[in-house]
Amino acid sequence: MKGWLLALVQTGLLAFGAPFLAGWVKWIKCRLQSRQGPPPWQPYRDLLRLFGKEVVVAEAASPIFRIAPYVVFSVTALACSVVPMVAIGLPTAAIADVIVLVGFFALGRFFLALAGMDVGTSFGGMGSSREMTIASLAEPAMLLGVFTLAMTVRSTNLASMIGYLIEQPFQLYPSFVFAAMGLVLVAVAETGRIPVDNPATHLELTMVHEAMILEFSGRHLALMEWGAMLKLMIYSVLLCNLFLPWGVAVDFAPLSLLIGLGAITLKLLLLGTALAVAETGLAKMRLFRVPQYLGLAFILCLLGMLSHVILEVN
Amino acid sequence: MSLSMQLKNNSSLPLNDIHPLPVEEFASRLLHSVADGLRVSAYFARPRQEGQFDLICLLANDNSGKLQLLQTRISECFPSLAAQCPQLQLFEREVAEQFGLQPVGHPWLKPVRFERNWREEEAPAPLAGDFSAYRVEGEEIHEVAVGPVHAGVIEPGHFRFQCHGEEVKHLEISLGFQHRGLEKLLCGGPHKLSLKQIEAAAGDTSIGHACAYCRNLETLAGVQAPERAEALRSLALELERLANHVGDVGALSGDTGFLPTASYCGSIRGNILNLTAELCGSRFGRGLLIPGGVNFDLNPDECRKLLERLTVIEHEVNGALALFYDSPSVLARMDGVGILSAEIATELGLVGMAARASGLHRDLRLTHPGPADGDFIEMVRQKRGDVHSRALLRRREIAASFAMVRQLLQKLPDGDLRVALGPLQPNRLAVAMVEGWRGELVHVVVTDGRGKFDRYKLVDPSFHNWNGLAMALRGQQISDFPLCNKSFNLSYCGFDL
Repeated sequence: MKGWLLALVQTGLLAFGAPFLAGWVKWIKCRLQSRQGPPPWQPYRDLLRLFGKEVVVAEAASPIFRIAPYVVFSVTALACSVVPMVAIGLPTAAIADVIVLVGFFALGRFFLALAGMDVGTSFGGMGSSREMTIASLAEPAMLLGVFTLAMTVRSTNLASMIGYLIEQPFQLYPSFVFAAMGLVLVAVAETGRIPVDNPATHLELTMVHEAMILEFSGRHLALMEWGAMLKLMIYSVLLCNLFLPWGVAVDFAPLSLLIGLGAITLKLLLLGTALAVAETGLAKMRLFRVPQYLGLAFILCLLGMLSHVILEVN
Repeated sequence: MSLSMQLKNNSSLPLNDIHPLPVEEFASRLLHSVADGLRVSAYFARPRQEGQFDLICLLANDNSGKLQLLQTRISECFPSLAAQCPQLQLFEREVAEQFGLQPVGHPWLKPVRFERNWREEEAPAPLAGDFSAYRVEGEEIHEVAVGPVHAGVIEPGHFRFQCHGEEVKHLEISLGFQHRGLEKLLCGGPHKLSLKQIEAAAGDTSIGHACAYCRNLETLAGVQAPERAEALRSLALELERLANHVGDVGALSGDTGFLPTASYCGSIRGNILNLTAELCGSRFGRGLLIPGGVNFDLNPDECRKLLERLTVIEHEVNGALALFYDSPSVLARMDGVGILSAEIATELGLVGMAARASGLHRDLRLTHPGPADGDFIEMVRQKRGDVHSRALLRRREIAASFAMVRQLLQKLPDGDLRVALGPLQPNRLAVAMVEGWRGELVHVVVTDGRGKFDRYKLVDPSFHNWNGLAMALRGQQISDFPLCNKSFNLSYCGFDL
């Protein structure tokens, strides 16, 4: 029972911490440009404002357009429950493994792309087509990267992966280094950050994710935006806890939970800062170079797997 | 060819000296001149007695620094030369729209700015944007329409893309949403408001347009602005160029998603505009110029202060620009995007920055110098004609402008600020051309028997260059359009007039 309660709390932490992470990245970016910047909690205000607004739906919209925000958000929220953030060994983590997680994302993306095309605007269609192109290249790379880790720990369950890594004495696996690099590239593409997509642009013709949600308003838009923040949060937590697993609570003692919470907060803030620095120093790349970029991610993950087979299996 | 048909920048001709040519000879001479390397700077109709029109063409020779004037007399229709000489196509459409004249055989006769025919004042004005776009047919072809209302704070314009996947097959640009009827307002002038209206022809080129207007009036009144006034005008022109170029680099940076330079340039542009405000009280130089001279002076103390502030600004600009131009991801984003070849640029008659970025030899400060352009030495040019060339051209022009502003502030010539302007000479045609920051501003004025404006023709560089943008986008990715558009940064209202 305690486990279920903790799982609920942890999912809530992920969901309600996500806007702060997004705001934190934005705030650091502003500071790096010598701008004042909105405070990191600004996304909460934005979401609150959007939830209070009326929903305007295009005349040509089908029911898919109306249900898409709920599907996208709930699927992403479900994905949250699978991700070990503060502690491992929670009952929810045992239900689903990393392949289910990728599946959740794919389901969300499917509805997002459908909704983008639903109203029939040219921007939405372009956004959907771009999103699917990127996804079709990012997903294999991501699975390959995750499988590399899975081969070392002999499990596709995220919690057991992290548990295994914490128990082992520190050891630098070459395969992990490659997989980490590959997964970082995938995470940047999947969460629509610079250099793949620019979440802050107003130029419709260059948008990917934003183009699909152009037609949404009010609470629909809020759910879509929140869903995108959740995705950033999930990827960040995964990267942090898979590659720097220290501090994650292995039991439910209050002290270790507290340490786990502190550790993940610190790791996320640092990762957010690194993301902001990278985004500040990089320009968005041309759309047709994204396949090359994701090809690199795939190669890195493949190298990770190869080096595992060659160097680490004995 | 009689000698009287030749003139120079900032000069005038009596109308009696301009002999109308027969239409065929007008056409053949025009085509001949263009084949010889001259380009069309202005081409417009002037109504005469009932149903009769003078068709006037001003050709610029960038090698000799001379201007050639051709004139013919037409009624109702005239042969279109657009097929042989594409740089004429928009001018001919403009003539057709303004006076309801028929360019016979025009291959692309569409509205220019949805203007009401000047001869039918009562007729309802056509609706801007109401046109039939060229369509590419095919199963996988899709059409993307952008504007006239845009997401950013920019001017209204409609863009219609014919795309195959992400590739643009054709772009059609339809403007005219900000048509104010400026040329018509100026008829019968100079009015009290004429100068103000000219300053608002294109808001970011206030000083440039005002400068051309003032020089035209001075030519017609037979006076010359004092040396000090011309130096101050040059100073203001260069400050305008600096502010816009710095702002453009910031905008380019913003469009590539490279935000540091975007933020810095945004704030530095403000500082440069403030220098202009220091000079005349308006950040955009409104009210600085007046026919006969300038309204505001700088004392040595102010010059010194401006120089000090300029040094600080130059340091900041160099830092912000270095960040942008030395960043590999930025260069990769701009390199090879939106190439406009020198051939197409020549054929379309592009002017100014965009033309120089494609390697054309077009800078009025050098080819048709005005009174204070003597010190202008080097023309900045690039070769490739891509977004990177246009961006780099700005960086080099920024450096050149800083040097010019410094030079001007250090040795402002002594003298009066303005001379009195007498009445304008009647029945003359005067031409003033100024290299604004975006390109050549052409003002041609014809006075009537009382010395009032009978016809005032303005050509903003955007009028020539919008077609260049459309051509630069052929075969490009549609997601590159905003960046390409920003690299040209053309004026909508300068086109719409």
